[in-house]
Amino acid sequence: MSAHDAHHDDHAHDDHHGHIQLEYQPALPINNGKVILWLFLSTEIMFFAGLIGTYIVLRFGVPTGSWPAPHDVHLLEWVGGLNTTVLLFSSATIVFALEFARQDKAANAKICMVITLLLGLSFLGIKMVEYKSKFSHGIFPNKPHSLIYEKPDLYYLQAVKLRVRELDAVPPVSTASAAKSPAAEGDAGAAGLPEGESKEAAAAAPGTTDEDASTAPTVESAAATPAEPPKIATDNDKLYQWPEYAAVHLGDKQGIRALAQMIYPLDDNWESAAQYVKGLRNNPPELDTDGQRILNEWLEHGEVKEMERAWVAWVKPNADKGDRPDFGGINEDDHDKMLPILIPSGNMWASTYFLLTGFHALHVLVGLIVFALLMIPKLDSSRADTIENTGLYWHFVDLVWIFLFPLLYLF
Amino acid sequence: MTEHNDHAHDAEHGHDAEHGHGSMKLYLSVFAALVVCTLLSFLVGSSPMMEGELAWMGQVFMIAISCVKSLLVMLVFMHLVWEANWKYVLTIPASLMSVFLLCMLMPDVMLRTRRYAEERWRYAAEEEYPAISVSDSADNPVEKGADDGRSDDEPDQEPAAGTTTED
Repeated sequence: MSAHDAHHDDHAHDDHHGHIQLEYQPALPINNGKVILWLFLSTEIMFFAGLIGTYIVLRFGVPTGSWPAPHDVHLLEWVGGLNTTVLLFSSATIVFALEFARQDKAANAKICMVITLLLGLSFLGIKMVEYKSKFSHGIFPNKPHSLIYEKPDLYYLQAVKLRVRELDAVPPVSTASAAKSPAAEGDAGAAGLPEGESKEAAAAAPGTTDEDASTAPTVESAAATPAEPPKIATDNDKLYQWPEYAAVHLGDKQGIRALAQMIYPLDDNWESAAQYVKGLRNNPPELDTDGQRILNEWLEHGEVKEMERAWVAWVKPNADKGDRPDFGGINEDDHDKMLPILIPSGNMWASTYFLLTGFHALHVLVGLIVFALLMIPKLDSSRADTIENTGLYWHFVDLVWIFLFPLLYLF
Repeated sequence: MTEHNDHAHDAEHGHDAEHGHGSMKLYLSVFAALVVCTLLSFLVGSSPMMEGELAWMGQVFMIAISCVKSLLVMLVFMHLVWEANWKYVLTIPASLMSVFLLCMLMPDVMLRTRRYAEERWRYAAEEEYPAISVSDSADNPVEKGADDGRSDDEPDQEPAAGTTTED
């Protein structure tokens, strides 16, 4: 006690005379917590640099023009901008909390801390809404749930076909055929590509030979409300028969592309698909009778006509080219259909998007836990160091998002 | 405890800069600047320029804006302007390594599609939409399996003759 007092007196003495005060530090002139936190942040810088670097390589390394545009994967620029602003605001409020704590204004510091916590929570809330809009469209990073296909090939066509037949085998109104659906689904899953593209092949496919299933469309159309007759369940097979015929017999994949655009239109591609349909109508190719019939059935299909109608409305002189036209596609009109979708580089997009934003959201979550713990004590000047270190971490989380926002939403 | 009291005492006397923090006014103006920067990025990013040939300019601009924003956050919100020299030890090597990593990855990004062989383009995720030519494909029906139907689809950068084996 006495030794300490003596030291303190010396100290006070120096201060009193206004001499230059020399302080001998055993280490850096900052508290240990801050040293550790900065070391941790310097490793975090490299962690995120690795992730972002990987994203850049994959994003710019894909074939020209094949990375999905933000709207194609249900990313809205303004939502990302809003989230950026929310995070920036929370960065400001936590600095205010630190200032108030240093001035021993504990109540004000607590208010700022509460606001920071709420802002962090809103960031995660907006993020959840964003994730949900991806999931509801079948955009997942991997297969069990993902509906994404990347190329307009026969694999994609086959996936559409299987899903259509799966839907067909389970008419929503008939309980009798619903009971038989597991067997029908299994058969449809085992069905390969039919050799002939005739109507007979489709009719002979397992699942439709069943008496209940073959009568199902009529039962359904009779029972369904007149406002919304399900289009696919009635003339489903006609939707993919022409694309299949064109691909197999003519070696022309544009039919598959057009089909993909009808299911899930992409900003840059659906117009070409509509023009392809128009080209077929105005300048039909020479085909045998079978092909002729399949083409005609396709051109008369409701979804094909819907795409053409949207295109005609869109190319009117006064239409705003910048906006997406009134054409959502089959999956958008009926989310339960969940037909396979075609997004070039879509799987890579989903993997990188969920990886980057997921790791960032994890960091946000950790920050929120610390904020919640800081709700308990009185935030006076004795807590200033804790608040400062928490703030440093939070600013870093903000920093990462500052780079993620343009890279993910605006490029 | 005494140390903290001294600290608060000094702050009241306006020696802010020496003790590692700025004023509320400074923080507010930095926050305003950050919001303005975000708005600028947003406006450029959603402008029609990003659709055209000059998209790269917009991208460079947005990354520059991001760098400015992160500098503002680090210097003011994270108090780096007021810190002693230790800040260089911890921030500069990590940042340099990050930049170095990105620079090392760049050649791959830039050269990858430019040197694609035609084969590679054919099996790439998705090629650009070709010009519509329905009658062509109908006049010259291709044998099943002989071609994947993109005989009239040319890649953006046509590889030079003799490079088709490159992969």
